[in-house]
Amino acid sequence: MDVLVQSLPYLAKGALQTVWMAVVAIFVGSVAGLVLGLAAVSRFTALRWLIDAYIFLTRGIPILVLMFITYYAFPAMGYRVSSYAAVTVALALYATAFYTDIMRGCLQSLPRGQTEAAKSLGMGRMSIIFDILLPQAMKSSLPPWLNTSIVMVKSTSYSAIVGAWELTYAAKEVVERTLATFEIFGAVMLFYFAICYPLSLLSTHLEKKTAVVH
Amino acid sequence: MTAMIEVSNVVKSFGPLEVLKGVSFQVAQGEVAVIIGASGSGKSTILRCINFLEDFQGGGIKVDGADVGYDLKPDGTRVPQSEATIAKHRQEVGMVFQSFNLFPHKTVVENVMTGPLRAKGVPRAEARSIAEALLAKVGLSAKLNELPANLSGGQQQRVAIARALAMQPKVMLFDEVTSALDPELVGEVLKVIRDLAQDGMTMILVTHEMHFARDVGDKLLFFDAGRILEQGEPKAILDNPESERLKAFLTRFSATNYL
Repeated sequence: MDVLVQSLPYLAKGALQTVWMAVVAIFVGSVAGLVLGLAAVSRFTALRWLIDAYIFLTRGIPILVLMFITYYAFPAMGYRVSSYAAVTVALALYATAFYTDIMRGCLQSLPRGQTEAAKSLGMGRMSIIFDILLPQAMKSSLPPWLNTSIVMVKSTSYSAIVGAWELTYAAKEVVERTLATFEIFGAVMLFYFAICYPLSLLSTHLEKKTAVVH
Repeated sequence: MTAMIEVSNVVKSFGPLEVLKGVSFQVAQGEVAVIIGASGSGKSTILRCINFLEDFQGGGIKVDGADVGYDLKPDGTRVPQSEATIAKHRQEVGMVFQSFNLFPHKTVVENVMTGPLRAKGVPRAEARSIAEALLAKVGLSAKLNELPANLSGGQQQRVAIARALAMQPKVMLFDEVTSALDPELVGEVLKVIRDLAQDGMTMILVTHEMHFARDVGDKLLFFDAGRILEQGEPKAILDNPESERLKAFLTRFSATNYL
């Protein structure tokens, strides 16, 4: 028990790093996903194909493999980056693929009558997107966005394998030093749960609230 | 009387399926034209062509003298108009849909303000007073800040009419606007349309309300398989249909009406 109490501050520091990495990945992924999601429903066919290819490729690769790729790719291209930067880039790329697909789906599932009503008022393309379609799509995308964000928080733990320091890596260090496997990983479990559970609650709440009636 | 809407020989296909096979008619300023016909006869399609929600392959449409969708060159070739030109045209043609199509994320008053604000660039305060006046006109002053989901079908449709009127259109198109309503809600929507007709609005209504067509219509068009089979004064046509198709249609109609 003493071991646990002594290592708590160290684990908390690791948890903070986990949150930080997740926040960066979720933020970058959300912004990029919003932009690419809009592009994915645009009239530019080539752009749509590129985005499709990106989504299918990224979704078809385990996040760990993606991390190894970014971890080794940057040095191979002559850039020296920290392992932290490499895994965060991988997480952001991964998040982008999922968020893009969510935004695309939410935009496409809006009834055609919405666009037609806006067109019939004489609204231009940009007004229709930003005033009519996007607000509705963003609202309905909130629950799946939160679910993906929870997955992203948990996916940060893979970076321990590549060697980026965060909660799981910190736990591994403490366990190697103290051999208190059960206590330490039990605590780690609770840390992850404490981060993800509020997001789950919020997601459930929003799912009920955002059931839009057309 | 000058023609506000001129439809000449319009041909429209969805792939191999020809839904309009050369449709021509005119609607004068202040006139109310009513289109009846079985489903699939092309009656909704022609409305959608008039504000260019559908393109068409042949013929031409003019609203208040301006070509719709295509500019016609002197040598007869059709040049598709720019998106901006089409949007400008749509501002002058109000459309009301069977399924209301209100914007669910906006309140009633915001729905009606959307057109003036986003399409015309009217200042917010002015858009609001336009919206409030129109909502008063359709009897919904008490619902300004409600979301559409909290309204009955009849109320939603009245908001949709106010939303279209907010653009101060020259022409209003009504596409089976009472078909999705419970029977007891039809009357309130028809009353609004009747008031508009009395104000002198030029309108085309696609409808199954035969009594209403007879009362309010100045002109009736019977569509059948992509053609206009009969047109003229509603009472005359409904009381003495010439074609077998219209006779059959009206018989079926009165039969189902009394079910």
